[in-house]
Amino acid sequence: MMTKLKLSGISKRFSGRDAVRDLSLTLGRGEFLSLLGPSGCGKSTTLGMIAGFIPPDAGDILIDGSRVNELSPQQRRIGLVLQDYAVFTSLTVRANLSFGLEVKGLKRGKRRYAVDELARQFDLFDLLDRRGGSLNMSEMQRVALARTLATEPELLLLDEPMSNLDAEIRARLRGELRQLQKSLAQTVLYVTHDQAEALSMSDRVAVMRDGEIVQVATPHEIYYRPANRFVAEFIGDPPLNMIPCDVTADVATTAIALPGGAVLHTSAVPIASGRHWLGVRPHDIELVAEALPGAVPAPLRFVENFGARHVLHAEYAGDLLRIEVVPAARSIGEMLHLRFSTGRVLLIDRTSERVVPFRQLEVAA
Amino acid sequence: MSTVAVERLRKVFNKITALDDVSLAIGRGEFLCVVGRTNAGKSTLLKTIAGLYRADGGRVIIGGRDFTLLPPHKRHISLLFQNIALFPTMTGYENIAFPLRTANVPADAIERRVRSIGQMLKVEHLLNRLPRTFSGGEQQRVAIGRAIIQPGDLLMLDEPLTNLDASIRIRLRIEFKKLHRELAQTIIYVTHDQVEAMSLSDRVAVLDGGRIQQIGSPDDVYHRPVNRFVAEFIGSPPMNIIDADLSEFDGRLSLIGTGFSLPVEESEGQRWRQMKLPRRLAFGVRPERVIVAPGPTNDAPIGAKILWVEHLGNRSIIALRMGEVTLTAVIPPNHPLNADLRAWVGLRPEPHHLLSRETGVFFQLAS
Repeated sequence: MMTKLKLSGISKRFSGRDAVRDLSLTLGRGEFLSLLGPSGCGKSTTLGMIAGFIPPDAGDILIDGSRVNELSPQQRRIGLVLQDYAVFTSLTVRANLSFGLEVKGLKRGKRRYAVDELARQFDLFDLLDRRGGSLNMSEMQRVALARTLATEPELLLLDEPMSNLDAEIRARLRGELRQLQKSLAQTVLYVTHDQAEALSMSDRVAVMRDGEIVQVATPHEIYYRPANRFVAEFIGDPPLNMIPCDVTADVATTAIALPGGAVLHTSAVPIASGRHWLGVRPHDIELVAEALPGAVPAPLRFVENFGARHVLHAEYAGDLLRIEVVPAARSIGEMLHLRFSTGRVLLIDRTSERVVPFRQLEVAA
Repeated sequence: MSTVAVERLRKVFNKITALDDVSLAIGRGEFLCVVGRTNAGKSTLLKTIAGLYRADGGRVIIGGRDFTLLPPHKRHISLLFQNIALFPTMTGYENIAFPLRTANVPADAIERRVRSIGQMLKVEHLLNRLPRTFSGGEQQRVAIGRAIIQPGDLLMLDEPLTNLDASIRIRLRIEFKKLHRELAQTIIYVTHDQVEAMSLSDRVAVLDGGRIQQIGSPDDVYHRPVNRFVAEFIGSPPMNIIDADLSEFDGRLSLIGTGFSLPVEESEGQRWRQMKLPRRLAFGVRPERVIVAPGPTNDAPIGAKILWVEHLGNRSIIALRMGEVTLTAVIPPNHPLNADLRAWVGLRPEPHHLLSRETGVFFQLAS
């Protein structure tokens, strides 16, 4: 894949505080990459530097191999859609779309046809004569996107474009936006705090924290092979379970002792001994009958009923574990027997908070 | 703690009916979520119950007393809004203690209560700090502390998680659930997010256009929706609703749509006939009940084109085009299909998921 955007060691300080620190990232042509992180992690500042609204203190920004640090936002040929869409409320949808084409330099005669084509693509045909101010949030979002894409930007930057929408509409737009991006082969950098948006739409996800990128990888890798505790806990709904454990390694095997006496064994390359966390995704905990070896008991405290699935909250080692299962009748207080044996558990070093690599775990007899 | 009854509540703004005969009964200690789209009337309902809006009709009865004409400050209702409004010059401690100070509670009792609430909400480290040093999630925790420190008859929360980061929302949601178990307080919680509503509630009230569409347990609204709105609003992705004609050939019932034909199992036929169904109807299928396979099978005989796949980690959502119909299915994350372009689909319409194409109302099962 050809490189569309390259960030090379960019930094930005605001009033003595590092907002973005020595950040490097490349974005391929036609790629959809999400910058994911909590509020204040520097993701919008990064976007602002790429767009040309915030000058970096250090580092280079390259688009198609050329340094653009000194170029104005317009010269960079970047499309930008923000959280509040800045649709012209007193203009009709047609005029809003036409504006985008005018910016692109399309002659008046050709514009009308192009507007119709855009309206068809974005399902805005019935809204063309409505004023921007009379649209609902999801219609505004489509107008803002259509208007921006009409300029055929080299790079489309989206900063939390769905934050103001109802959850219902957000879930629907994810698929539509992704489909559109693919059909146009548009290069997109998408800023969000919502891991579901990042996982569902992106080719790759860059997780940010405190002004730095913690990990860049495909959604699958981010989910199953997070680099450290922060990524592991930030990704996933319901969130990852963290169970304290003690690891003893000898030459041939590694034993992971869990609270309550259960021990997991792995024949993988010995791992450093000591206190760790066992990270388990809620859907990777197995409910078993009492008698099975390696199972730990945990009383059920409450159930979240999402219809298609239940999330059980059961008490274990002084904390509540989350277990995602298919719906079944259960009673509060009932003793569950849990097994962590799916081979999809993580081991996290408690001092460095890094995820320790290892192969499949097996349950001890 | 109290039983709350809302009877035929009406509220009209400039000829626009925001609440249209809304009736609700909430049991002592119950957690009820009111869920609906923006402008469904959710916040108006809360504000009318709280007395911030004057009802244009109907009554609000709390603990057997008619509150309809009572001024807000006499209602013993706590209300927490979406926009967190902490006193900026007061510490976390003083913000939480505020309702007790105005009620002239002795200082040592205030101290005990604030410390215990602080512990419960995990905000002890914020008690001596000013709000501007708090993160969004921390601010909301302190605001919750202030709302619950003086237990009233009713605690009402208006989209308390909406402005927060998704990761904080997911975790605070669970805190609410735990909090409710500890406080045993009657709670009405308003949200546009059906995930929150399903997760938190004893019962869910689905509101649309100022009218209650359905009130029931999470299982009720998910598995037995009364109409198309509820079926499509509850559940993510929403229930697939597909037009079809009911036909009978050689004594065997089938649902015929554009590009597909679904025979009704012979053992089910009698039940279907008793429902006295019209020919033209629609049926609903939850995305997790759609059978998807990489090749044609007996269970999944209908060819479909894959439009897109969304990987969410614990499950994937797949959008499919089957003839003229677009439908979504939920598949496990390790499903072999993920990269293919074609899939085969199986649908098994169930009698309690048949609805009228015209009115969108689900047909009642024959008893």
